[in-house]
Amino acid sequence: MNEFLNKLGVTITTSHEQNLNLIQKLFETARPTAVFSEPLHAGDYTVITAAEVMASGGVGYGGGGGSGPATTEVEEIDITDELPVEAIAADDEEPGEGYGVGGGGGGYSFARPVAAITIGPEGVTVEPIVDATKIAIAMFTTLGAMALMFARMSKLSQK
Amino acid sequence: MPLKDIIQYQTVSADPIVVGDTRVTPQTQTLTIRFPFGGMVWNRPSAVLVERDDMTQRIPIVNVTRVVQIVLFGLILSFSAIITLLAAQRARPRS
Repeated sequence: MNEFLNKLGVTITTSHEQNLNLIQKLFETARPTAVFSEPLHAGDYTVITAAEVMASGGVGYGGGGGSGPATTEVEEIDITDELPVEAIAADDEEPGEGYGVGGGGGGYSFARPVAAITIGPEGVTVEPIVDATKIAIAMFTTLGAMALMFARMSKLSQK
Repeated sequence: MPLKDIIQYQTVSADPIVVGDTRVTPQTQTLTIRFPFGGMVWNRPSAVLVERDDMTQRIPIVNVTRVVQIVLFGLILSFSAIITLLAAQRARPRS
């Protein structure tokens, strides 16, 4: 079961320390090594890719508690006397019950290449990497919004 | 918890890469929001420092996709502002 969950990217933690380690892993994204790749050498050229990285996440915990029999006050008694009836009844009550804690967490991360840095005999060049899909989506959204506004405007002017 | 421990924005330099007589130091800009049980990290490449022949040159890394997205967003905002102004002008009764 655990292997299946690991394949899905789900990690089961059983202690607070494990959760803190997970959070620490999140903040390791802040290191420059997460952004720049290892240099690749090809002939006289060396290429490094640069990517934008974002990660966020968190964990939460639930609480717990329990219930038990009320404390029975027993008056000081002479051991030679018989035990009071209340004290005997308290001993016969069932032990208390308790419940544990629970928790959960989640996160999100993405990385997108931004540029390729080439070091060669001619010097250092930075070539941008363009995400055509993102630009196309943004452009169609812009055009759609503009068309919608224009249509409303012309509708209003006709009234 | 002080605010500077919760939100941090800093420029970090990576280990320099030396190829021949060229020394390249990549730089990143990092925004970190940290809470006891979670947080967020946004890390982006900002520039490379090139040291060659006793000269240092800073080459900025531009995220072209982000720039285009911001320009298009600005276009929507300005277009909607113009349309709203025109609509308000037309709706005003002529004296």
